[in-house]
Amino acid sequence: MKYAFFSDVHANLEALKAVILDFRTEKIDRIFFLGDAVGYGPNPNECIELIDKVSKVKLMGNHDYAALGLMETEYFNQYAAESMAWTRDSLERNKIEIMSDFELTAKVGDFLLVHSSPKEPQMWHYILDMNDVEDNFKYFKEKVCLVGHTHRPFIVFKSEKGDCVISHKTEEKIQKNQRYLINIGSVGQPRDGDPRSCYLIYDTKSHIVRYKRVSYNFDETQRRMSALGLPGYLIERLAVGR
Amino acid sequence: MPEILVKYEDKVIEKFITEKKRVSIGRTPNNDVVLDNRGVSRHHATIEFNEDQALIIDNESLNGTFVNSRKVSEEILKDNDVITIGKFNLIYYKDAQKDENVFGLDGTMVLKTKKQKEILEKDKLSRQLTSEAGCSILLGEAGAEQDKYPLAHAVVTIGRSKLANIKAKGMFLSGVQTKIVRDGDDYWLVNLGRKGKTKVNGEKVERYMLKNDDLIQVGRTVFRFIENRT
Repeated sequence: MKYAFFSDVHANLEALKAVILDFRTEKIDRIFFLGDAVGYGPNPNECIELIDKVSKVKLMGNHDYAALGLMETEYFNQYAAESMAWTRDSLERNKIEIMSDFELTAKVGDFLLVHSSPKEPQMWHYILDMNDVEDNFKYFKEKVCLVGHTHRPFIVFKSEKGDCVISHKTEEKIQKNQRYLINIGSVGQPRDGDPRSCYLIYDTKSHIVRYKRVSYNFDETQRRMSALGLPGYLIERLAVGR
Repeated sequence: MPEILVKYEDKVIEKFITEKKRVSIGRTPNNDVVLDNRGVSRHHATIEFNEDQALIIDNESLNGTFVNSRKVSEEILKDNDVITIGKFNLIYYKDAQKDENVFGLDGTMVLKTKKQKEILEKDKLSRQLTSEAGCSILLGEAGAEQDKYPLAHAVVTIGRSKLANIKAKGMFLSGVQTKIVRDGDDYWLVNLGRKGKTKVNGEKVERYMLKNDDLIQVGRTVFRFIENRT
């Protein structure tokens, strides 16, 4: 079986469509969504509908949570708050209903899925450095924990001795004697310097996790964002993946 | 034009539509709204209308004036508020209703002191609970995990999932089915999840401003809203 894990679509329909096409090419059997369907981008309703179609397991991201009016946007930066105000006004009632069913965490075999961090998932902490990584290993029992949220992919494994090691490869075989914390990257707003959409594939037979990068037409997303008057900074960053 | 619908034991006995700035309510015939019952003081209460607001004032009556089951001395009325005086319920509508049938009164009323006692005890208990919590609360009724839930945050959620602050059960209930949003002194109940799964006093709601003593049903779980008044 081949599993696909994707996250942080952020209402970028062009990116989402490209990734879903790629799921077909890769002959993915099961698809899991790790949160942030909306926020930043121009097509929240279309993205929620598509995500709901392709993925049975859907997690809540902080932007989804804010879009449902469940938290204030004072912790958001200026651009995120601006686009969130627009998102809230744009959401259709039946899309709110879909999002109201997004879960906080999910388990798939020996994988724990969570949008932000296994430590207090609802606090939306960011895992930004090795200290955060080491700390978070304490908060899950599963072999592998997959997160999104920072839009920066990484694979860290913890050896039997307890050392945390960052992998610089785009694929890793899940070893029996190691545990893993993996950030699966972002579909709709990558921030690792590569503007292509990013998601993670796991092959249950070979036990290999592999990042997949997919090019999409970000010009079109940028055009729609401009037409809607969304913040320029959010428009420009799509082209550079920062 | 505001309207006051006078009910006696769920029976409509008078529909009072007025342009007056001041409406007196009491037992004696010189009142604008006459509630002929021994449980009602002679000049029991007054409603003053000014511009967009209606203020009910209890004239230090013996048995008290209640708004949405809460004893008041002065209170700004909101649309649909229920004023209880003795065995009468007076429903305040900001704008007159159009097609109500008004039935006559058969004139045999006896104040049952038991009801008066019950309503006073309920009010006392509510005040005690909200004063302990320091905010409005939900009382857990059928199916609820706790007896009471303080509404201490700007948004409180009710639903099936781990994300919800208050757990509720029921078929096809959404993870976060309902939210209660505080807006100044008002609490708004908003149905986020599947339609029809949030009810107030038996009616399906999508967006509703809560009143004291409202019965909230989320799926199969029931709560009672108790408003904090300071």
